[in-house]
Amino acid sequence: MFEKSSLEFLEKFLNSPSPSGYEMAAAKVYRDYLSDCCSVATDVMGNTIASLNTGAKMRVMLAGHYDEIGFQVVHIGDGGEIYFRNVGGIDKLNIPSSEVEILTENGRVPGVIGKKPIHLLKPKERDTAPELSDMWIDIGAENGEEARKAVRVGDSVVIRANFKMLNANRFISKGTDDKIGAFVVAETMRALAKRKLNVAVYGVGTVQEEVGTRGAYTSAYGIDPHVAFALDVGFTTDLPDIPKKILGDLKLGAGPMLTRNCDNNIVLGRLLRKTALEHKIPYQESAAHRATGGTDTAAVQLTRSGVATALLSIPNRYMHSAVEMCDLRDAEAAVQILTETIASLKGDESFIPVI
Amino acid sequence: MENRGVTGRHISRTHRYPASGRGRRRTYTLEKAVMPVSSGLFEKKKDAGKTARSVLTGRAVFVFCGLLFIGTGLYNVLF
Repeated sequence: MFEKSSLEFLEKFLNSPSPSGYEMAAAKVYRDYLSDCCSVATDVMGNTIASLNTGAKMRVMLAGHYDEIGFQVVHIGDGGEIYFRNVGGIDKLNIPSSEVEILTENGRVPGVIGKKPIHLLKPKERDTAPELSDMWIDIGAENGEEARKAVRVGDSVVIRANFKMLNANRFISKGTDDKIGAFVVAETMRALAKRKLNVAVYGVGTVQEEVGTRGAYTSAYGIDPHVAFALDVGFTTDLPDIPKKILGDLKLGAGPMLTRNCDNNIVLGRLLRKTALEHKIPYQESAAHRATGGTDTAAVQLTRSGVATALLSIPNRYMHSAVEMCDLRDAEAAVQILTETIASLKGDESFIPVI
Repeated sequence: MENRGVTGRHISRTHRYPASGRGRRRTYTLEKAVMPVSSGLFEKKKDAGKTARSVLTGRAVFVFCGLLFIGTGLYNVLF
């Protein structure tokens, strides 16, 4: 089980606003948590890189993104209503009635996302998903002038922090995609700091994943790793109407998903599975839901002349909503697999896929 | 996990379009945009969200009716 300090870090981390491109608050929490066991630095993009044993010849990179989906203010109406656009893959069906925080230069401004009441909708509108342009953020301002004093066009917006443990293992929060992945990276770095290592390890909290895996591109180029592990969330199919015949049988609490597709190096994948089996750590097999892309894995893999990469996905329900659900046991198993795999590396392995 | 359909990116880089014009129209039709209709020859803005099959069927019916109309007219004029 995770220590109390780890869970306190997770809660603080998840409650830190970090819409893509504006991840400074989450980066600070991540940096502070690792600064006593690793060498930590934040680069010009906002990626935070914690490093261990940097003199070793083989370089191993861990990547988990700490940016989250959000919104941006585009216009403030004369009535004080604030219009916005999405930053990342927002599900517009999940948005109405959400509590939000607008991140301004003078601090966070609370508000709610409003839309026309059901009573005033035309029959056809009731059966139609509203567009983002049909909604607005209401900060309780009397008029546009008052709203413009508090908020400026371009300010970022996030769903209000809402971390909550539902039981001993499962929790909900906005932004578990992918702060749970960055949390696994941080916990792995802490565990590896206590082990003897033959390789250099770089634990990266990456930025701007939700808008194009941008932080992974630059951090991987800078680190130039031989091996890399990306941590992200993955869909579970233990819910109604999510077809197992298309996505596989994937559950919350049954261990991280080890994925096989073009993004994943075959030799590294075999090593991960062998380590998990040897140490009796649970994991789930996943055929990725598409051939390639969608996580930091591909961005790192295609850096320079290519990198041996593997994706570990933490099972997640209700992805890209305000109530994404994860299970701590899956994160713990991922930390164990990564720690044992990286600690077992001698530094002279080849990951070239040959027969 | 990035939702590429909404961020305007495509399944692969070879199918990547700029974030305007055709690329933007395909924002919510990710799976359909890679079908044969994506050649651009038959594409129209109103077709966003339709499958390639329905678009091509619609075009075929339109062309067929047009040819029938013209053919009937020519027949009446000539004979």
